[in-house]
Amino acid sequence: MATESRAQSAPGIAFAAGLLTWAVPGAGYFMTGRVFRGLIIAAVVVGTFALGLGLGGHLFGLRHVRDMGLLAYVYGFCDLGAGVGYFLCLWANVGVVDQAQRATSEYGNYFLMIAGLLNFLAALDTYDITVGRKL
Amino acid sequence: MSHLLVMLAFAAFVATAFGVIGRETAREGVRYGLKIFCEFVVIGLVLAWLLYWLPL
Repeated sequence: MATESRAQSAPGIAFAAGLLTWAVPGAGYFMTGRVFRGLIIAAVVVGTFALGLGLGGHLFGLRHVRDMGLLAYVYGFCDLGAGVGYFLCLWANVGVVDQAQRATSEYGNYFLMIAGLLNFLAALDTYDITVGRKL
Repeated sequence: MSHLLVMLAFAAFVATAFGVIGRETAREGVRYGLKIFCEFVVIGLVLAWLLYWLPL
């Protein structure tokens, strides 16, 4: 009962918390008072993203890439999950160029996508916590 | 980094995130994360050996 009333009273705040977690990994958890959980998620997402860049991965944009078809959009959507870091990299021209000559570049691409997907998951988790669906 | 190290890093990152998100208490989260980490590593090694013997 208490959960239901909480869910009805805070959808806007929950959406803001989820959006904040997406933009800055882990930040939305601070709004819910789960600082430790937020720090772990931030470390995981940033660590995965940084390792992806270090391995020679590159970010996909939400645009058509020759010979890739719709898959490029899927990859771009996954990368977009990293939030502000994604846009910062595009702005600073970091991790944009395909480094196919490096043996680990494919691994890097998938690490970058996994970072985004984990952050999407964390954003949904933050929303659920704030809205009262989870403890 | 070797392929094994990359796989271990991947398993560690994903297992940590799942352990934190998937369970409520710290104790349950650690156990769940360790279980997922072991599953990633063991299944990865088994698949690697199976693919080694297949004439692909």
